[in-house]
Amino acid sequence: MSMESTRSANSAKRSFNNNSNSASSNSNSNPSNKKKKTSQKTLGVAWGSNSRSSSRSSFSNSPFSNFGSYMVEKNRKLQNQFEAEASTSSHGGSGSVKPIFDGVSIFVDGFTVPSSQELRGYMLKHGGRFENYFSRRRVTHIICSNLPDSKIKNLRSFSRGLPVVKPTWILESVTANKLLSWVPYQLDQLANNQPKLSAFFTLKRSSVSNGASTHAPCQVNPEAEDSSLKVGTSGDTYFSEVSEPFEHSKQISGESDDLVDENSNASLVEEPANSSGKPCEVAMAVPSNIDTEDESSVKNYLQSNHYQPSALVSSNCINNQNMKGSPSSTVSEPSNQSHSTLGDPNFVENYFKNSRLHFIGTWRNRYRKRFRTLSDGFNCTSSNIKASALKTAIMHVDMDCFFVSVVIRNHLELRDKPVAVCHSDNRKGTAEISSANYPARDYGIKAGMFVRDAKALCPHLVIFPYNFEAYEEVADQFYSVLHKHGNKVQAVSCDEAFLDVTDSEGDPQLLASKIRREIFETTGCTASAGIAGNMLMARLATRTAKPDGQCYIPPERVDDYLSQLPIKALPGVGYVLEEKLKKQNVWTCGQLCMISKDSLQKDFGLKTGEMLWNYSRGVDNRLVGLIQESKSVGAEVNWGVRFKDVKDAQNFLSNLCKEVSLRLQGCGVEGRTFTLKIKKRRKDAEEPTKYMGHGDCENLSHSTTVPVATDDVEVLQRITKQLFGSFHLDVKEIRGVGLQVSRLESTENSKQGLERNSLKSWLTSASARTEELCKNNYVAKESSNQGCEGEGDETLGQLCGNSVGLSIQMDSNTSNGAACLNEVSVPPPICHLDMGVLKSLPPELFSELNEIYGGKLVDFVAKNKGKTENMNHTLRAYSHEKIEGAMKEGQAALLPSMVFQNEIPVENKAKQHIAKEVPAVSGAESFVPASGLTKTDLIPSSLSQVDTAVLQQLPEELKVDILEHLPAHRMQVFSPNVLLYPTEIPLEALGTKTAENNSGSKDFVLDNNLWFGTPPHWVEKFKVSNCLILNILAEMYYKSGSTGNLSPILQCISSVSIHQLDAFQDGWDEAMYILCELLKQYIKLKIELDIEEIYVCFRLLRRFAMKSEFFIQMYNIVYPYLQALVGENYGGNLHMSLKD
Amino acid sequence: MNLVVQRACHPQLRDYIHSAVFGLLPFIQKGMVERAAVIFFNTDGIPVERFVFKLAVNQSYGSKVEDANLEFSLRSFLIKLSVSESLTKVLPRDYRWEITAYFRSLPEASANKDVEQWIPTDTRQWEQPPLLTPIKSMSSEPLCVQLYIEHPSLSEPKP
Repeated sequence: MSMESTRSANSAKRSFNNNSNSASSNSNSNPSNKKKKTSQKTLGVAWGSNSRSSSRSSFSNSPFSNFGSYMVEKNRKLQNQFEAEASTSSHGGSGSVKPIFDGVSIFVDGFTVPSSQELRGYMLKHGGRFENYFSRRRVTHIICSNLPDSKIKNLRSFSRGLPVVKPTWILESVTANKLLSWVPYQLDQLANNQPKLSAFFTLKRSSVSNGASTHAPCQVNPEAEDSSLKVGTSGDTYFSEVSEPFEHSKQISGESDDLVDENSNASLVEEPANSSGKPCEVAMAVPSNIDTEDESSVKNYLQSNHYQPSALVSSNCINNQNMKGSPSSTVSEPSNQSHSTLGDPNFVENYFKNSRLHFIGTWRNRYRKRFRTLSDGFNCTSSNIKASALKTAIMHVDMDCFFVSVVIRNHLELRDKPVAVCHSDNRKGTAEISSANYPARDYGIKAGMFVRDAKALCPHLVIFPYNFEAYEEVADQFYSVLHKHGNKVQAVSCDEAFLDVTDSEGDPQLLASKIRREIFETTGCTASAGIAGNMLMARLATRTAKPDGQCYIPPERVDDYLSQLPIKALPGVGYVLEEKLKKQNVWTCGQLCMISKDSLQKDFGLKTGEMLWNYSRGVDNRLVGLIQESKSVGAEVNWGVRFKDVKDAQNFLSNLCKEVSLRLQGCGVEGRTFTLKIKKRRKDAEEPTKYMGHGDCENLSHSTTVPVATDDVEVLQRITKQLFGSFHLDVKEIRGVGLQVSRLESTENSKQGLERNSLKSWLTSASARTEELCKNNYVAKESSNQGCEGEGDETLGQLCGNSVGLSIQMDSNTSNGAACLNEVSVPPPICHLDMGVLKSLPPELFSELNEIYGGKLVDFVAKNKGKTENMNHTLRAYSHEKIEGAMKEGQAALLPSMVFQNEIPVENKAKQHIAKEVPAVSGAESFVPASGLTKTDLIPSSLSQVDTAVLQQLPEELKVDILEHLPAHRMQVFSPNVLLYPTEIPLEALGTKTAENNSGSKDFVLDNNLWFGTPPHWVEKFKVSNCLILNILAEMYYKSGSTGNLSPILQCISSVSIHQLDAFQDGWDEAMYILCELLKQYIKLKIELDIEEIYVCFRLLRRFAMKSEFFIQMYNIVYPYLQALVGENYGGNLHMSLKD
Repeated sequence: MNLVVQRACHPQLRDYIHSAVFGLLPFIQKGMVERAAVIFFNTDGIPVERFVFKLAVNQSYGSKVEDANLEFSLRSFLIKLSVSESLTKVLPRDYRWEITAYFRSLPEASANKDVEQWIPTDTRQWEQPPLLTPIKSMSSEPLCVQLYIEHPSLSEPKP
C-alpha cells in the first residue's frame, strides 16, 4: 500500500541525510533478496511436510495404484533433484576435501530455527543427505527443535532409535568444519535422562568410610577435561538453550515427568550406552568403576556448597569419563541448571545442607540443646566469679585444623601428608579450600584458596570433602571432654572453647595436658591449649602453642609476649583495622601501646578504641561464660543464584524465609526488623571466575520494622515479598539474596503478641469460635424447627443448621476481621457495622469491640435490636417455609442446591420487600441463599467462610495472603458462595431493587480475581455452576488448550450451535451477570497490551449475538464498557464492522 | 526469520523509510516513543488512514532478551501485517503519507543530533474519536507492540 501513494518529499516535514544511509541499505539488499528466496522455499517445504496426511486422504483419486508406489516415486524424484542440486552447489566449495556430512542423512521434523530449507542447503553443500520423508533405512539423524509431548512419550516409535538432534549440531559442525559429536546436541527434552545434580542431591549421603574409600578411584581417573573450557561450554549450552524457549517451556511443563526420570541413578550408566559407539566401549570396560565414581561424585555434590564452583566441574568429569571417545563433547546443561536456583526447586534447602558456614552457624543451637543443663548451671555460678577477684586462670582449647583432622582421623597414613578440605577435588576448579592441615600449610596452602592454586603449590595435595556428620560427632565428643573437666565452659565454636580453671585443683598446665590427651584419645584429633590470666591472653597463648601443643603465659610475661605481637593477631583486628593502623605505622602491639586511649577512640570509635587500648596491654575483662546473645539471625545465599523470572525469585524467597524462620525458632527468638539484602550484578560485570559465584556486585538492602516480633514463616514471606518488590529489580541480575532479622526478642516474651498478630491464628481462632457459635445455633434452630419435622427430618435439620450457622459464621468472621483491622487501622464507622453480626458476637468479643468504639456500640445495638431480631426471625421463618415446600415436592434432600436454585428468584422477590424495610440486614439476606449451596459440611479453619465484605476491607496484601492460604480443594467450596451473590445483582441491574445497599459493595471482591491463576478462577466457578452456559465455558477452557485467553474459548464455543445456548431458563440473570463481569475484567486485563485479543473476542461475541438472545443481551451490556475503556486508552472507538 | 518482507523499490523512498525508522530507534530504546504512526492523508492534509504502532518497551531487560521468543512474536506480527490489506480501502493516487512518532515527552533538541532529524508535524487531527481496527498485538517480554488502524469516525465531518 505504501507503493500506491507518492512519496511526499516536501510534505514529510523531516530532513534526513539520505546519502549517508543509502550505502548501508544497498548493502542490505543482497542478503534480503537471498532471504526471500529461501523463505519462499520454506513455504514449499512446509506444504510438503504437511502434505503427507493430506495426500493420504486425497489418495483415492490419484493416478497411482497405491500410496506406497506414489511415495516411492516421489522420493525417487526428490532424491534426484537433491543430487542434481548437490552436484552443482558443491562445485563452489573445495571439492577435494572430504565433505563434513559424509554419510549423514538428516530428516527435519517440524519447525526449526534455521529453516529446514537452510539445513537442506547445508547438507547439499557439505556432502550430507536430506530426506523429505522419514525412513528408518536412509535417515541417520532426526533434526528438530521441539517435539510434541506425544512424540516424547513414544520416542522409540517416533525416532526408531535414531538420534534426535538440535539443528545447532549442523550449524556448529559447519562452523567447526568437521562433524561434531551429536551427543551434546541431543534434544533437551530427551536429554532429561541424563544425570542431573538434583538427582544427586536427593540421594542419601554415603557414610564417611565409604566416601573415603571411593574417593581414590575418582582421583585416579584421568581428567581429560579442561575446566575453563567446561565453564565456557556450559555457558554456551545455556545460551543455546535460551535461544529455544519453546522447548524450554515445554520442558518446564513436563517437569514433573522429568523429575521422575532423572531420579534414577541408573541413567548415568545408561546414558553412555545411548551415545555413539566409542563411549559405550568405555562404559563397558569399567562398569564397576562407573558405579563407584557415581557414588563418590554423589558425595562430592553432597558436600558441595556455595563455595563450590567445581561441583559442576566434577560432574563434567563424570560426563567426560563416560564419553571419553568424543573429545569435543560438552557438558549437558541440565547439570548447569539444576545446580543453581534455576533448576533445583529445593535449592535453598540443599544449599544450606551443604554449607560449612551454615554448619558452624547452627552448631551453637545443637550445642545448647545438648549441654543445656551444664551451661545453665554454669551460668548461675558465673556471677559468683565476678565477686571473687582472685587470680584467675583461663584455658583456651582449640582443635588443630578441625575440618581436616576430623576427616582424616581414621587415616593414619595421611597424618603427615598435605590434606585439605574442600567441596570438590578438581585440580582446575575454583572451589575454595576451607581448611588445610599443617603439612599442607607448609606448602603455603591457606584456607580460602582456589583448589587450582593449591594444587599448583602442592600437586600431591589430597583433598577431602566435608563430612558434617563426623564434625558433629567429634564436636560433641570434644565438649564432653571439656565439660568433664570444668563446669565453666564457654563454647566459641564447634572446635574452640574457653574454660575457667581458676577453681580447679592442681596446676592448670597439667590439667591442660590431661584434657588434650583425652581429646586425642576420644576423637583421634589433636587439640592445642593456651593458659593465661584472661581470655585474650589464653587465646593468644593457644596461637603460640599450635599445633598440638600448649602454652602458658604467666602474668609477668604478658608484656614481653605482647610487645612483639603483630596487631593482626589480636582478636577483633581485621583487615581493615590492620590497614588503618599500619597507615599510622603501627605494626605490633608494643607500638599500639604507645598511642593514647583518647586518640585511639577518636580514630576508631569509642568501643574499638577502647578494645585496642585494652588488648594491646593484655587487658581483657570478659568473663568466661558470658555468651553474647546474637543480635541478628539471618540467612544469605550468594552462590548459584540465578533467576529466570519473577516466579523463580519468589519461590526462592519463600524458601529462604522458611530457612530463616527455622533458624529463628531454633534460636528461640523472634525479630522485628527485617532486612533484605540483594547482590545485584554490576552492569559491566562479567561472568564471575568462580563458577556460579556472584562476581562483581552492587549490594542493595532494604529493611522494614514491624510492630510485633515474629518468627512466623508466612509473615516473613509476606514481608520479604514486599521488601523484594521495593527493589524494582530485574530478577536476572540478582546474584545473591540475604534475609536478616534483627531486634530480636525471646519467644516467651512475644508469644502473646504473636498469637494475636499471626494471620493464621486469628483465622483459625475465628473459625473455631464460629464453629462453636454455629453449634449453638444449630441447637437453637433445631428446636425452632420442630414444626417441620415430618419431611427431610435429619437432613433438613442439618440444612437449616447449616444455613443459619453459616450466616452467623460469616457474620462473626466479619467482626473478627473488623477487630483485627482495628489493630492496624481505624475502626469502621459505627453505622457500617452489621447488626446481625454484632448481635451474634460472643460477649467477650463484643465487649472488646465496644471498647474500641468507646461504649457507643451498646447503645447502637440496643436501638437496633428489636428491629433486626424481628427481621431475622421473618427471614428465617421464610426460608424454612421454602425448604419445607421444596421438600414436599419430593425433591430429595440430596440435592439441596438444586432446590435452592429454584427458590432463589422467589426469595429474591421476598427479599426485595424486606430490604426496603430494613436495609441494614442485607448481610443476613444474602447468606440465606448461600446456605443452600454449601456442601453440607462446614469447613472450619477454612477461609472459604470469610465474609467477602471483610475481605474487601482488608489491605491488598492481606487479601492476597488469604487467597493464597486457601488450599486448592477448598476452592470449590469457596466458589459456590461467591457465585451466589450475583443472584441478587441482576435484580439490581434491572432496576427492581432499590433499597439494596450493602450487597452492592459486597460486590464480589473476589470477582476481581476472576482471571487470576491457572486455570483462572472463573473456570472452577463455572464448572461447579449449575448453569449450562457457564458449564460450557469452563469445559471449553480445557478444550481450547487452557491458554488463559478468551478468544480460543469463544472459538471453541462457536463450534457448538449457539442457539442451544439459549435453551436454559434457570439462572439466566445470574449467568448474564457473571459473564458480563468476566468480560469486563478481561477487558480491563487486556486493554493495555492486547487490544487485538479483545477485538477478536468481541467479534466472536457479536457473531454469537446474531443467533442467541442471551449473547445479544450480554453484548449490549458489555459493549459500552468496552468502548469507554478503549477510548480511555487509545483515544478512539473499536471499529466493529457489520460485514461479517 | 523465515519471513517474507515487502519493501519499496524506489531507492529514495526506501531511504526515507529506512532513515525514519532508524531515527526512531534510539528513542524507542529509551522508551520515549509511545506510538509511531504511518499516516495517509489527502491533499488537504486531512488524514484518511493511520497505521498506529503502539509501543511498550521494558527497559530493565538489557541484553538478556530471549531472541527466539521475540523473533517468534515478531514473525507472527509481520505475517499479520502483510495480510491486513483487506482492512484498508484503495486510496486515490495523489494521497500522501508520513511517518509520525508520538513521544511521551519531547526530547531536548540540543541533547542529541538524532533529535534534529525530527520536526513537529502539522497534519490535521480528526475532530471525532477515530474507529480502531486492531491488527496485531504482540507482547513478548521486553517489547510489546500493538498495531491498529485508525479510520475517521463515521460521524466525522466530510471535507
